[in-house]
Amino acid sequence: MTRLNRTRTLKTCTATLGSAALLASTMTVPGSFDNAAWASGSPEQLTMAIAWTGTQAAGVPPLLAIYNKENPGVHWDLIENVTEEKLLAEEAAGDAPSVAMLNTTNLVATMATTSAILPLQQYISSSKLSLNQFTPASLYSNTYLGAQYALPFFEDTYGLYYNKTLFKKAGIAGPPTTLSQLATDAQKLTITGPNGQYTQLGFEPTMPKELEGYLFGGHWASSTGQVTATSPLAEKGVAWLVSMEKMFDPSKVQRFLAGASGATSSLDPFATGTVGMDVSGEWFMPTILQQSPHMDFGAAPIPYPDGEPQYAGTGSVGGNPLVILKGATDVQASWKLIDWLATTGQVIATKNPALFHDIYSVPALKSLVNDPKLAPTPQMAFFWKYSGGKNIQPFPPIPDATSYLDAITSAVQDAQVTDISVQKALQQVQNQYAPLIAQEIKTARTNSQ
Amino acid sequence: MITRTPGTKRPPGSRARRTPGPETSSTGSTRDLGRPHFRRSPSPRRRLTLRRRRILWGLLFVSPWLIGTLGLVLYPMALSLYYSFTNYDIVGPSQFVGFSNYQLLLNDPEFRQALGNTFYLVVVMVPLSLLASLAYALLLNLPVYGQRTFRTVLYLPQMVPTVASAILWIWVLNPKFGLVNTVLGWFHILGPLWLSSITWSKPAIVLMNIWGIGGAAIIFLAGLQGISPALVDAARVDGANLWHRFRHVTLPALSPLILFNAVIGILAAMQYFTQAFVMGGGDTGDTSIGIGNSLQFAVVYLYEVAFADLRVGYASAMGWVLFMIMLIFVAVLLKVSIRWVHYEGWRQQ
Repeated sequence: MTRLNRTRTLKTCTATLGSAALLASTMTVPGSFDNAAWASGSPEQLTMAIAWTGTQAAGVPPLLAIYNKENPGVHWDLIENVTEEKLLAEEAAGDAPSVAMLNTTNLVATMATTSAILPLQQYISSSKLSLNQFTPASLYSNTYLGAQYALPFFEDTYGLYYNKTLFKKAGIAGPPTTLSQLATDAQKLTITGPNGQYTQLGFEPTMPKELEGYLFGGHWASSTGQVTATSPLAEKGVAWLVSMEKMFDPSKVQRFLAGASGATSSLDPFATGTVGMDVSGEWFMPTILQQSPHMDFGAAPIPYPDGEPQYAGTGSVGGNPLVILKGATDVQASWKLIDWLATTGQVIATKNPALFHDIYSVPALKSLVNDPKLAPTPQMAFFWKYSGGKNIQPFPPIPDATSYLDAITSAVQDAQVTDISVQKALQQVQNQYAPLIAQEIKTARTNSQ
Repeated sequence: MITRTPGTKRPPGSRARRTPGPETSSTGSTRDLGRPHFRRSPSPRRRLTLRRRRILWGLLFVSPWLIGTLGLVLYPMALSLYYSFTNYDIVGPSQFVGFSNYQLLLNDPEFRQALGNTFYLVVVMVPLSLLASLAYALLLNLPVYGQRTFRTVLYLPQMVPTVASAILWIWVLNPKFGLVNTVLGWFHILGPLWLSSITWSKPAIVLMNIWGIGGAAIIFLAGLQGISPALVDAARVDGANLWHRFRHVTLPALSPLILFNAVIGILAAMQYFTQAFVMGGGDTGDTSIGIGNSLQFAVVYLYEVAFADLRVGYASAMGWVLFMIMLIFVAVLLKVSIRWVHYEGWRQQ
């Protein structure tokens, strides 16, 4: 190749690369693209991500379609099955959606600490959104150190399921109201087979979200975010749950429960009619109805300690927070959407049987949960009303909540199936997480100043 | 000085290199020319261009590997080393914190538990898998009817996707309905709780892993087929029985492969993730991995810390500690292997 040819080739390559880079930059810089769209009069294209998939996710696109129709200046696209890991990766790459619905409230504080989501206070104030319309626990679960970082969409709450048929067979009139009644009923309902193993269990001694810590009025963290795994009241609740396992033969209980690989499994012992009582969420009902369409079951409040009726109606709530992600293309439009979804959107979805059939959760608005006529079944009506109670609380909205909850679950399991004491198991959790979470909160506070 | 053997011809086009110094004249007398005398060579510029061109071609051919290694291995490794000295949460900027992440690791009971669970795999699963795969290979090497079918069947588990095999084994090990406990029940043995037990969950993982050792067995089988029959026959003539032939012929011949499979096994055990995550219920979130976190291995914990708690700096420190532990394991194994690994045609100095 001559020098002249080489020079020509080099110039051609440079020109081609330059043109490609120019074209790529035009297509990838959000501002230029959006401005072009705006200038041409087409609606602003924005993206919302949700962690839901399948049937539940099917309820969201119709809602967005309604919103897009009512707001012609903006068009929201929906991406399903976006887990929190994917969201963070997209945020780090500067390509995050503007709005997301997370899969758990346990991540709100963690994401707030790291500034992955935006605080909502200024938008709440400017739009005059009344937070009083939301159920207290759902609202609290979306805060971090008193500041609102998310709005509640649909929630999950937990109550005591009981099998009415098994109750009748055992001669028990109704669901227990106190913990000692629950223990007595559990013994009556437990049946041992000829091989010495349980064929029916009165009570499944596990509680989601470790809500056993709340039974005696305890908390897993203070309102300022301090870890309180060893608070006497929380410890008392755990000790009660462990005693329920040890009242029977723990190895036999484990063997009995081992057949089920989670509440959504087709082999869940309550859904197949071999457990008398189980604490679970409203989302468990479709599984029961699918496995045992004719099962006669009820949902009741979680029993309270004897002589302490002030703890009646204790329970937990968790849900699907609506958040605005850092780097959102249009923050005002994002706020408008989550404001609409949390209020008008929830009302539309709850009152539309087809949409609610897909979503099938507990609304976070007081006006909805207190209207039993809207609920598809009496059991669902119970869960709705229960979620608004004064003794319902979420797992504390603190950083590292997921790992902290995981550690508590592990400690409770250790206490149930090994010789380690409840106090020692919880002390280990306290020693590990109290300094860690305190440090995270301190760092976040320092950074925000 | 150039000497030429009578009768030999220089290949056409070849050039003799001359060295500076005394030169032999055509008459055979030696004379000192006083300065070096070179045959005219191609210009330095052209020689450099050719060399550069060769380097460029070489780089072009290795570029896929080079780009992959630099961009996807070395650069992330260097970044993670940097992040291990910082507080970093993916979204915000990192803050330098010195060695505090490493100090925190020393006092983290969950990390200690996760490391203990991981060492269990290294100490129990790796040797058992080696033994089982060697036994597999010896059986598959027997000249029996249906040998190919046996080889195919025993290798099949290797073809099953990891998550699918994990879900399959959840059912196989189900204490009430599972295949294993059903078979034990035929002999009036009450099977263990497997994944629902703190004691039995890790043995369950080991059992599942032994089911899928077709890859290592194939490597051993290839090694077995490479052993010269003459060696075995010679040993037989010398009166060696089956055990002696295995101990003194087969095993030394396979020792490099045993070392290879051991190294690969240790590295895999130290990074054990998918099966534990699926079988321990990690995909359901907000729960311990296995009863009492008995299946929380080091990398599973690392994942949780990095992507659930967003403590990427801490997770990076964890990754580097694991890397150093792996290096130590492998270094020790390689050092010790000098005593028992036999390389054909290689003698220890």
